[in-house]
Amino acid sequence: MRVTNSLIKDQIINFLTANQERLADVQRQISTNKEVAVSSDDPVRFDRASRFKSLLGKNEQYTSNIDDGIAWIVMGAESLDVVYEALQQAKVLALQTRGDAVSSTRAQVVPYVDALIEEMVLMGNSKFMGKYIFGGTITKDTEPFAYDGVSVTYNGNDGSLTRKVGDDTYLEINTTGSEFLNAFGAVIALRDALDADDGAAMDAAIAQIDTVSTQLLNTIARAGSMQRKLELTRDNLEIANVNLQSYISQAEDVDLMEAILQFNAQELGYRAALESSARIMNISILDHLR
Amino acid sequence: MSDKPKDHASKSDRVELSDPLEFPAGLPGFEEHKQFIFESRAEMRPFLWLRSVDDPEMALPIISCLLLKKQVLLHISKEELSLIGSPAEADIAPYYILRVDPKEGTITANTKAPVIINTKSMQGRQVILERDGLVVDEPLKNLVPSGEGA
Repeated sequence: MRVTNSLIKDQIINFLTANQERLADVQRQISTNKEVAVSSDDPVRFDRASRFKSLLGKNEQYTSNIDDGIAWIVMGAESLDVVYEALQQAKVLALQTRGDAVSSTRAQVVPYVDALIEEMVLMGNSKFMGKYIFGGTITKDTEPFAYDGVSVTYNGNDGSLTRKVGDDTYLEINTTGSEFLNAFGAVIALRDALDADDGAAMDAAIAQIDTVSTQLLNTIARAGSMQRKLELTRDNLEIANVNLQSYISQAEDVDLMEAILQFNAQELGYRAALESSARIMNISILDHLR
Repeated sequence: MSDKPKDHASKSDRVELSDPLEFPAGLPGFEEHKQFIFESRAEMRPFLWLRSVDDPEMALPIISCLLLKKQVLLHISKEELSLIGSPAEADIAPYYILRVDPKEGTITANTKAPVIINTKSMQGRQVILERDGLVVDEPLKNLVPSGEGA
């Protein structure tokens, strides 16, 4: 380990020594107000910096893909929340008319349940930027859910939609309609039971609503975790871009040196106060690791 | 100390290097760089450089958070710490990565994503802190302790 360490250090020392002259140049440039541009000074270094600059652009594209993906997921989650609320309202209506209620009361709530079904279908056909959110890869022309007053059918597919968030990384953004198709079935079963004034069928429908509600919460949670993944990736890209810019600062030595010298000059009091502790800090970490 | 003129001081007078540190995850944007060395140039203190062993051309300017205002002290999760060997608090050395604001020409610090070093295991990692008030471009001037008379 010692040998390896000193070998590595020697290599870096060699590198730095080779750069001493360049460093002196840089300091000369600072004192002569940057007479020479870095590009003409050192084409290789300039190429590296510009390569990293193009990486920055790429990362910005990925970040924009992520923002788009998050907006898609949020829109979907909001629609699913409304579907969940509709399920709970249907259940409340069922419980209110279940007990001792007379048949006529049950028939009276049928239109309300029907309205809930239509609201759920409307949510299932939500669009984002002109595209259906829940149709799988069928995002145009065909509405994912069709309701003929009797039953709801799903006309989408189970295809997943992704956003490119890295050179070889794609993250999923969609929930497909088949993941919550049974929510419609449960409320329709309730509507039919109310219409038929069938207490046993109502109980079955209420149980069904509970089951699909739980499933729907899981689906919403999955959307939340897709969103979280995208957010973490976005954070990482943001930091990557800051690091790349830091590298570019460093590669374009003139600006950095100038900024440091200026900082140290302007914050002279600070620097003086810290000089001893800075020494201690530097040396302690360096010694520690030596 | 040296009898040579300052401009021709030997490299060891001017530059101090640490032993290599392991960065198992690299750094965001530089994931392939797994080993870094701390570099201190006498005339540039308290600024340091985090230089890649894999590619010595790659280096980032840094400064110890411990020299700066205490309000920016770190809140790092146990999970993050476990990735560099769960160091005790006394064994954590935190640093901010710096860059130059291209408009102002001044130095900014990334307080949102400090680099932390486990000085015992010699492992390092850049962590992303999810706290309000932390930004990727805090002017370094704002972090300078003031009015403490020290």
